[in-house]
Amino acid sequence: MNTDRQPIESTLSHMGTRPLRTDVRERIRARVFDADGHPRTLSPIRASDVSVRSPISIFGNLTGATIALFLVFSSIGGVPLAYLAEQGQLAVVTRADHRSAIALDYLEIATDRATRSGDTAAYDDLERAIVESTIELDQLKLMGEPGRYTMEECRALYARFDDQLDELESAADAARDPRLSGAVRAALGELDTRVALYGPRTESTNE
Amino acid sequence: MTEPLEQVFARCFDAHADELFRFAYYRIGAREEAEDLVSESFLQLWSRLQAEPVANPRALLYTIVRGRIIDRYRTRGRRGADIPLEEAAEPAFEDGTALQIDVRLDYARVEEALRGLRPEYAEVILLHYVHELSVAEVSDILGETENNVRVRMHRALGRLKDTLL
Repeated sequence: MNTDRQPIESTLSHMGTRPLRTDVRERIRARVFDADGHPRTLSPIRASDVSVRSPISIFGNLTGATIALFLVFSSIGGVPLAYLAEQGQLAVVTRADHRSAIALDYLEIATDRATRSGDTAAYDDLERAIVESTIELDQLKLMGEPGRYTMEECRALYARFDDQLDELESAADAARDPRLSGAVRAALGELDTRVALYGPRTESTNE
Repeated sequence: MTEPLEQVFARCFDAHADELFRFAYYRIGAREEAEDLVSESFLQLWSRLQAEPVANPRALLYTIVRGRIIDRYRTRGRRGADIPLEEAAEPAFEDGTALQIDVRLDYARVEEALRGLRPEYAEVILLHYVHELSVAEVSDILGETENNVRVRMHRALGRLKDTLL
């Protein structure tokens, strides 16, 4: 490494100007624009990733969660109704703390369903619920968001997820289900990394 | 007169597609996946632009790509090895013979060192030093205070130097 010849900051800056291969750029362009040069539209599945701006009250969330509980063991074409209900709620809720709570509520439902029935579809659903909870909790700001939730409330959501994952890890080990164990451990790893950020934050706040 | 939305978006693509690809590629090391991430992020930006004004599209794009990278790390454990060897060996940049060999080696070693850093450190190095986003922009993208970002940048650069020297 020629660190004597040029400082690391300079190498890093030059890396930011490396020309992209033409075919790489064109492949990306072809996926973003159609043949007439108009932007393509997100597929319906991806569109769900974009937050919808319709506000909904806590009451609405709780009602939805209650309905989901009643529907826990029902399904349409193998897709649990509770999952559809959860997705319906997530489609209209934008606040990260509310979305996390909804995802964790559903994780509890999915856990219950998987441990009671033990069938493959239930485990698939549980795996999906773990990933979804991780995604939603990742959107939380560790220090909270003014007027929405505090750092302590954020910690409480993390703690709740951590408890659920610990419980799941034991259940997966007991059931000797390597796929579920893998999903749980991956989620725990992500959670640990995220929670570990509280340390440096606290340090830097004190500096 | 207000610029048509499609033009705004096309200009945004021309201005930021390359740098966004670099960001994704340096983080994940897989060209094809980086292409997917970047194209999906632009589509998401387009969807957002149609719904509401976006004050800083560049920062939003980085935020989206970053989210996608996190999702990818999250699912990687379930998919096993993620970078086919032939793809890892395939260059994504036009370095060719135009660049001196020692410079190419520099890039390769820095890329390798970046992947060895803790993700939160590699991220600030890429955003600030490679892509030259301001501390305020990095702060927006990461959802953290500028003070915290500065502290992390300082530590991250120190770690990178330790690795390379």
